[in-house]
Amino acid sequence: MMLRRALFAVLIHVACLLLLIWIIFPIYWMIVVSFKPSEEIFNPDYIVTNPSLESYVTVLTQGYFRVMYFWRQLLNSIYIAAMTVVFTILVSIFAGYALSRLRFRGKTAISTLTLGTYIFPYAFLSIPYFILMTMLNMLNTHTSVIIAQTIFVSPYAIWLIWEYSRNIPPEIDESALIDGAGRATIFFRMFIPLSLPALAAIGAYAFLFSWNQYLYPFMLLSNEPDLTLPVAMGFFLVTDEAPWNLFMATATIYSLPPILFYYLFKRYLIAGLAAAAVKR
Amino acid sequence: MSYRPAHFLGLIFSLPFLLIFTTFVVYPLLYSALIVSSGDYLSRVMSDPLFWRSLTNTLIYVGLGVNIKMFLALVLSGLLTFTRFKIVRAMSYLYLLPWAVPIIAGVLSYRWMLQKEWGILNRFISDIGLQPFNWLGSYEGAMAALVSFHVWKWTPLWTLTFYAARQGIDPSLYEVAKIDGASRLKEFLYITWPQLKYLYAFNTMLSTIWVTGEFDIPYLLTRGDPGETTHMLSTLGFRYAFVLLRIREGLSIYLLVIPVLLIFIMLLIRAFGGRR
Repeated sequence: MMLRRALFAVLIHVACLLLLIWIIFPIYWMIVVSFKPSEEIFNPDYIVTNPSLESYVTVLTQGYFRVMYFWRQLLNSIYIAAMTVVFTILVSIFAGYALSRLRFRGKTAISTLTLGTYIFPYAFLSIPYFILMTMLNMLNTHTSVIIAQTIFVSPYAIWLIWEYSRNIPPEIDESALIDGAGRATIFFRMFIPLSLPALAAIGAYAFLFSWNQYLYPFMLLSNEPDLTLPVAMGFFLVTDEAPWNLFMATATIYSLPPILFYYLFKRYLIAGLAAAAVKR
Repeated sequence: MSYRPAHFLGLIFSLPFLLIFTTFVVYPLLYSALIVSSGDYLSRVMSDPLFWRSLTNTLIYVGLGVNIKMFLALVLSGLLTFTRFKIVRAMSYLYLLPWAVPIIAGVLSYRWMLQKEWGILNRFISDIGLQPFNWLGSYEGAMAALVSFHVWKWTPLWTLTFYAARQGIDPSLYEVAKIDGASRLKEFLYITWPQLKYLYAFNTMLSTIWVTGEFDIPYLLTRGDPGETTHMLSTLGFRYAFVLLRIREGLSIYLLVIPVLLIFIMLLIRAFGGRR
């Protein structure tokens, strides 16, 4: 029994260690290569012997043609993510309130629609959306990317508010109604303040979603200074030259905000997922 | 005075979402259907052997990726729930990292790791005395890289859903089982699995639908290479539309997949909608 226990413990440790190496290694490697000086790139050592900030300096000073618009493209990413957060919250707080608190005709249809949109893989909507943007003369605009992303994030956001507001007792609404408050007062003075944690979760989710997007900005934007950083980074892969330390430095910089966000908002993100999982 | 129906306000509040949805999703879809039905684009696409190859690749990618990932997520969530080993506890802070790292960053690192001459993976393989392999230069290697990257990136998310669901299982059930001397396997079969099987089925179906439309990972990691052999339906449609500039053929590939997906989505909502 003791032996079996010990064997089990060893097995678990080895398995976990291997898994951990697989999980961490690509991230470790990204950081290691980013600190390699140019002459060490083609020297595959597991560690970096002469760590150097050379690649970071080149990226931050835009000293190579692939990172010529680094700051501009970073700002584009931030702007598009921020606007996606704002619009998602605007769209979803109203619909979320309607679905969770109001009884009206067509409610079931709308909730099925949001659920269906959430499940639908949005890549298959890309070419139709591209055609529409061509017709509206909106290609090469950040707005076109923001609209698309808002549509894809909103269903989950609406659903999160709906789930979350189950914890806000409806009796609050009823007693406020009795006291003569209008629906609008209830919505702005009570529902929104009480839903703030859900809004924080939605904000984090929308930000991460937008930050990770590749297909839509890639398809819709073509002016180099207007690209988001992931799209610009996608072009690293087709270049003949291979300053991989620069590429990895850019990748590391771009990964920092979501990692930070994740650890800051972990509680909210997990709470949202927990609600989803327990309900199913 | 109880809840009065609020038809007007309910519709007004839902209007922003409905409006953008109709304008930017429904309308372009209908318009696209019109375009595709106005020519023989569908038959042209279906006579392209690359289409059938991409369909096969998509099925392989979805079949392997989704199932390996889900199984791993179930096991990992169990480890995180039950074990008191320090290394596993420490891991719980790190194992979610791939989820936070953007796909493009992960892909850049993966590509450089798998590079055949200077990649660290081949270095490691020769260090342990095996033959280096041209990972992204062969069909099998590239498909393996795709599945492996998918599992690497998305296992954390699904692990979290299982982990959350496990928190909802009454711990006294396990205590009783322990007193009765039940083995770990029996505990899993009679306590854990009955409570997780619906979530497992739901997650698998949901993920299958999502991964069918996954674009970023296949496009960035292999871009159909080597020699256009690793295209998925999503990347093939994109290639038709924006590389070959035959947008109607690309459109028809996507429109061919949509009805199939809609059936799956309807089934999913039917099967699990009632459980919410």
